Amino acid sequence: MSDQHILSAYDRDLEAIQALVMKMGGLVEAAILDGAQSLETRDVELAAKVRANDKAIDELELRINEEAARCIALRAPVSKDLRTVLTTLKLAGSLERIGDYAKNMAKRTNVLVEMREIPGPDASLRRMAREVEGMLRNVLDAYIQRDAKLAEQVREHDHDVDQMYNAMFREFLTFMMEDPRNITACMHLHFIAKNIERMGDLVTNMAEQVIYLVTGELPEDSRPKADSTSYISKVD
Amino acid sequence: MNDMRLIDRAVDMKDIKFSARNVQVYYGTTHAIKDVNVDIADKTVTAFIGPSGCGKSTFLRSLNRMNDTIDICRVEGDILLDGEDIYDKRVDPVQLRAKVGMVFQKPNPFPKSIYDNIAYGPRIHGLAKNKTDLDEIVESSLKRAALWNEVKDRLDAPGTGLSGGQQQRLCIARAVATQPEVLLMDEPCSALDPIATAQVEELIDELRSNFSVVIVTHSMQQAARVSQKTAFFHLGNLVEYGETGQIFTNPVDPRTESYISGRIG
Amino acid sequence: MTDASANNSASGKSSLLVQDARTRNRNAVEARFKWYGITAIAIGCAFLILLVTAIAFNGSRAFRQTFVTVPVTLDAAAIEAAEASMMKTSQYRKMIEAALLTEVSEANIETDMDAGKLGDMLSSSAPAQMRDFVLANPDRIGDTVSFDFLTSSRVDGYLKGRVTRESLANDKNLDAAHLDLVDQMRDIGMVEKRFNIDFIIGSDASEERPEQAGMGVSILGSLFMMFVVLFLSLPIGVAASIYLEEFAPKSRWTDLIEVNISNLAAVPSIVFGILGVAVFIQIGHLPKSAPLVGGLVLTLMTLPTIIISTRAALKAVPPSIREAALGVGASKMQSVFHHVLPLAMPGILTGTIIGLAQALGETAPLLLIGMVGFIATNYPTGPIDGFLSPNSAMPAQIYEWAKRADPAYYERAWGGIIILLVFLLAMNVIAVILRRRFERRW
Repeated sequence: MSDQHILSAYDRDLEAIQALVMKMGGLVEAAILDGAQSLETRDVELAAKVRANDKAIDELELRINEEAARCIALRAPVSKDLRTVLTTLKLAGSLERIGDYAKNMAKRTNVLVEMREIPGPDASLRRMAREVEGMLRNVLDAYIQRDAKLAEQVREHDHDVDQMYNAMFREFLTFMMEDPRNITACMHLHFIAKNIERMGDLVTNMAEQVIYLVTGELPEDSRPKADSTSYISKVD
Repeated sequence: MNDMRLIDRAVDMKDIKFSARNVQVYYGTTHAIKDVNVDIADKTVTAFIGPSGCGKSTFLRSLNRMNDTIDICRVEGDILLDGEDIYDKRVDPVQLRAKVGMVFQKPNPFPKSIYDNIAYGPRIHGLAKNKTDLDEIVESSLKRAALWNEVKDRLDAPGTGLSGGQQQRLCIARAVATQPEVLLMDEPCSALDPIATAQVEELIDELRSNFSVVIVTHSMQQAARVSQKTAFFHLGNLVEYGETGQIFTNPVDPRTESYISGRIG
Repeated sequence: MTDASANNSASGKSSLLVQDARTRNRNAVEARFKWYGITAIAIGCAFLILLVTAIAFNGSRAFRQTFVTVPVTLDAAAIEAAEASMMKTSQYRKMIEAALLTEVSEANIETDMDAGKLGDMLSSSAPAQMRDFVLANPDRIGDTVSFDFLTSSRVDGYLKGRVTRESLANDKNLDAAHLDLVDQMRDIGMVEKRFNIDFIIGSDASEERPEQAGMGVSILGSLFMMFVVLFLSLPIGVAASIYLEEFAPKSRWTDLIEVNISNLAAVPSIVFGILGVAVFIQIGHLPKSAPLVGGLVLTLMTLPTIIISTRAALKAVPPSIREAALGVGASKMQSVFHHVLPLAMPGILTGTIIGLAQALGETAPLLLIGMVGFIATNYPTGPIDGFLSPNSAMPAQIYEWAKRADPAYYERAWGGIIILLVFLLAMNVIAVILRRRFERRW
């Protein structure tokens, strides 16, 4: 089966929407990395740039929604094409949320600059952000290459992010118990960690969406979850 | 989406009306239908889709032996209607066609009054004992075809004077009037405007409560809108047959995928 | 093509307001073609007008005949004597001649002719006309009755300009003196031209009495033939076409039959005539010269026309109607007779009437089966006699008159053509009316 439509304009439309998603993905990736870096280096200027770039991400999402609506209305896509358009919408939604989290990370950098430094978590956070960014890159690759296997790997990778978040949760608890003056900073840092963990979840959602796009079915078994912080009552 | 619609999807539970086994149709030396096996459910709309010349119309016409009128056409294999082979030597095609009505691509009312158009079938099949009976059949058929309110004041007007959509609904009413069990429709909306098409589609959906409806259509969207099951024909083969929603969101066969998504197959 | 594109590229954009050479050329060709067409139609119309005026001019004279008005006293004794004699009509003739002489002298017209010579002006039908009147009205015996007698064809010819004094020089029937007399009689209104109904309803007359000849009997002959043709060729033709068009399997045999029917339509009519002689008269021993035989021969000739036009009419019924009927469970037969045939009816009727019209005007086969000559002399006594006794037909009668020697018959042949054309026109009008009446849209 050829991948080309008889109507070549239809192909161009679909390609254009997917290109927008990729562009949006690139912006979000940069936002994650820049956000994490601004946090580690307490770089207020970089943080400002991340916050400014979020506007572009939001606009891209609007544009993708519009293009998808146009495509549904004008081309009446079915089957694979329908899944492509639906996936595009969902991916754009997820990317927008991830972008928001990255912006939030940058926002908190401005606050953390004023606080006393807590050694350790910054580097961990950055690692965690890198991890999520890597997952996002893989999801986008899987999306553009229609690679369900790669998407499945990403989905399993969420486990690692959750583990990292668990470790940091305990770390923050310890810091806060050691010295109550750390509490404000730790609360902010914890929110950042939680946001990154949420990004991981969103990326996993995206991976599932890519699997649906390729196979036509959502993976049935529940996602491997490792975020056990809901059960932690005290530091061991 | 309400629960009623979702229940409709459980089409596999319904009784089987038509059952085709290893059906071959030849036009002279051309092998038009190759080894088709299909079970058509009762009280269900089944759509046949496929590119031109794929044999979907041929197969449809073999279901009520309309192909008999073509000298060079030959049908092999078994087509069972309620378990009876319709190509059995003892079967009179006229009797079969009374059970399996047909609506054609172009609206083709007889050049007679609206009343006579509907009354013709019941008359030749002796379905009405007297004039009152016949009036009743005409009225109920027209009501069923959602045409009654538009024509009740001019039943004596010629059927050919109606608009295209009305004519096609008249033809459906005419087919319904002989009280068939199955209604075959060969591209019934291809000559109609979108409004008339929508009216006919609505009608088809209503007819489903009483008949098994088989519709051949070139419009995939129409198949998607009106049918519960869809069969995709390609080069005389039945490529894929299944629940319509499944065919249109996630077809199994790449040829189906290519066709319904408008790709170069 | 290359020139045009070169031009365009050279001058840049071409203007729509300026016609280029190709367009001008094309338009000129089109205009020329239109003129050819108009010229062709004009030529056709000119011939038609010529034909119609010639027929109207020559033929109309046949409908007016010269009569002489003579009051005759029906003397009882003279009539009794005449009826008793062997030569009844010659006795009546004498009475008429005497009355004519009296009338002429009373009108102060001088003549040295005797009664017998004067009587040469009259048609030989005059005595029979008078006797018929006397036998029909015996109570009028003794009265003086004013008769309108036909004049002889010479007198008639003189008034119509066909006969001149010079041409009478070698004619033993009439002298120039008669013509002088006729001039005077015409002046006082004794002799005048009048509409002659006998030309339409009368029977044929012998060679010497053209003034008496009429078309009536041969019209009846034609009508009897048309009955035979209609009642044989319509059912046979329609049945054959329905079978061939709707029921017959497409095989080599039906193809062969189809080709042969088309060929039959092109067979010269004289061939059907010789066939009629061989089959119906020599083998079938049917009476010669009978309208029945003529009708049978014309049926053979008309059948292909009817079959071809009926099949065309059936073919023109859209197949969707047949499918619709089959779709609601009608049988083949029901679909044909309930739906297809009614729709094809106007076409079938038109074809049939055209076929009949063709048969009505057909001459050649009738000549072969002997429906020509001096035979349309008596009205048939009844329908059976009408079919079986020798008779002529309109075109054969016209042919017969045209070949007779007397120029008066030539005029009657033209007149006969007018009657024939009126019949054909009437049939075509009927065809148009039927088509209008039955025609339905689908």
